Amino acid sequence: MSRRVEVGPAADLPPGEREILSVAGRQVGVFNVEGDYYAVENDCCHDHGPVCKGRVHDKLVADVDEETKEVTERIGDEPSIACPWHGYEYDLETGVHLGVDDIALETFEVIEDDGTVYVRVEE
Amino acid sequence: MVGAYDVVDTDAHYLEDLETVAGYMDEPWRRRLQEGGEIARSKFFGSSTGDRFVWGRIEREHSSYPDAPMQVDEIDEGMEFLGLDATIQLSHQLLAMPRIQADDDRVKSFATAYTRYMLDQAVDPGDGIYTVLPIPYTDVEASVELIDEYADDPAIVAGCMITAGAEPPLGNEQYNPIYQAAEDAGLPLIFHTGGSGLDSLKNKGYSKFIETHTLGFLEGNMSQLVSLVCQGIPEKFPDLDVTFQESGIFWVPMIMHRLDEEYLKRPSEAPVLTRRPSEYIKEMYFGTQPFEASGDPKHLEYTIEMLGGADRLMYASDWPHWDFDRPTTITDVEFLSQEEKQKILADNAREVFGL
Repeated sequence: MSRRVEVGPAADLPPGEREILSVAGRQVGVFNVEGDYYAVENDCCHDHGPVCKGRVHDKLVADVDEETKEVTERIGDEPSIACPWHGYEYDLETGVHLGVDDIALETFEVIEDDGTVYVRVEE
Repeated sequence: MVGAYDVVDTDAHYLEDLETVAGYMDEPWRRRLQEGGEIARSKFFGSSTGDRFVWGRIEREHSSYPDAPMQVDEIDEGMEFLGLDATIQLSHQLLAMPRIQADDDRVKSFATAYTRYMLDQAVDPGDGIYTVLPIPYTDVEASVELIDEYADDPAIVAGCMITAGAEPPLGNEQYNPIYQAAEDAGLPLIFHTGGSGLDSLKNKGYSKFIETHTLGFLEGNMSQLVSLVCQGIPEKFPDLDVTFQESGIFWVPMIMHRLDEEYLKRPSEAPVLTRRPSEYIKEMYFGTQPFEASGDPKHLEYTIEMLGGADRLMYASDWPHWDFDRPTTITDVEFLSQEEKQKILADNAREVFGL
């Protein structure tokens, strides 16, 4: 069973902005990153830090040259978020930690309907 | 023009704004320097192994560190955030002490001034705020004078020896007067690692802080523990309480096992010892931070068992540094009993430091 929880008017959540709200006893961060919405729990898997207050940016990735094996670091095109307490960093869309795939934040579907933003939560 | 002369200056300097210059860089450096803030920019040339705050990813509430010097009321704020009943404050500036090679009295001067300042402005045993005496061990005479003058102050609960970069290693006989003075005064000693010299750690050329911090903060303590034990400091000063801080705990059983193996094969090189090295180490104390709790709990349980159990551990936050631990790092450990958690969180420290 799921329900939509209102976040607020889409006009109040322009690109680059975020909203942290309480949903059924827990906190959820809703983000607008360059026009795309994301939502993750505001509870870092490490020590329950306020991950949704952290820095959002496209994640850093490394390309390894097939022939020389040289590494080139570059900015990718998938947003990530870093917990400001200790730096645990997660893919904002999947919630999965950038370094290991067995640590992940819960993610939520974000819906924009008639100018209003909602998150869908399971109950 | 100077008079009729055409003048060319072949060496002048332009102090460029690194944030502006970063706008002309390729990624990822542009983002690191533009979004990482002044701290990140200060590390670009200042430290080739990078920024403790991962180029702006880690931030601090409840502390002006790292952007500005802290004020004494931030001690209370930090205690409230962490949920502390007592705190032992250690000089941040002291951590770089081994970097000072000058043959002058600046270390002595700093240690004395820091102690006066903290006693005058910051500490309050009634509110659970204590500090430790910085030991300027490169000046043995000054160290002994400081211990003699301040060891009895109720707000001074230990002396601190910075382990990173200590040369010669701290088991050397030249330091004996310091250990004798501390033992005579009943002053425990904290051996605390630090980031001094990380860039030139062993093999110069590491490029990431993950490398130099993993190794450097460990090497500082590991090298001094080996020196203390092999040179017989625990045998010569049996009433001296020794605590190691800020290297986590997994390294301790490793060095115990390695030292025991060496000792059994080379006992003539450690003739002062009457027992296995590990037995001396099991009588020391170890700060828990950074507590390596992310792995398999049974490995953590074995590690604590191998170093002597909960009696040997003391909770430490390292607040407000980048990898601080909250008390939850201990309270969340399922295999520890309530009594063991209380020992680690407070009882061991209250007993050793007389809080």
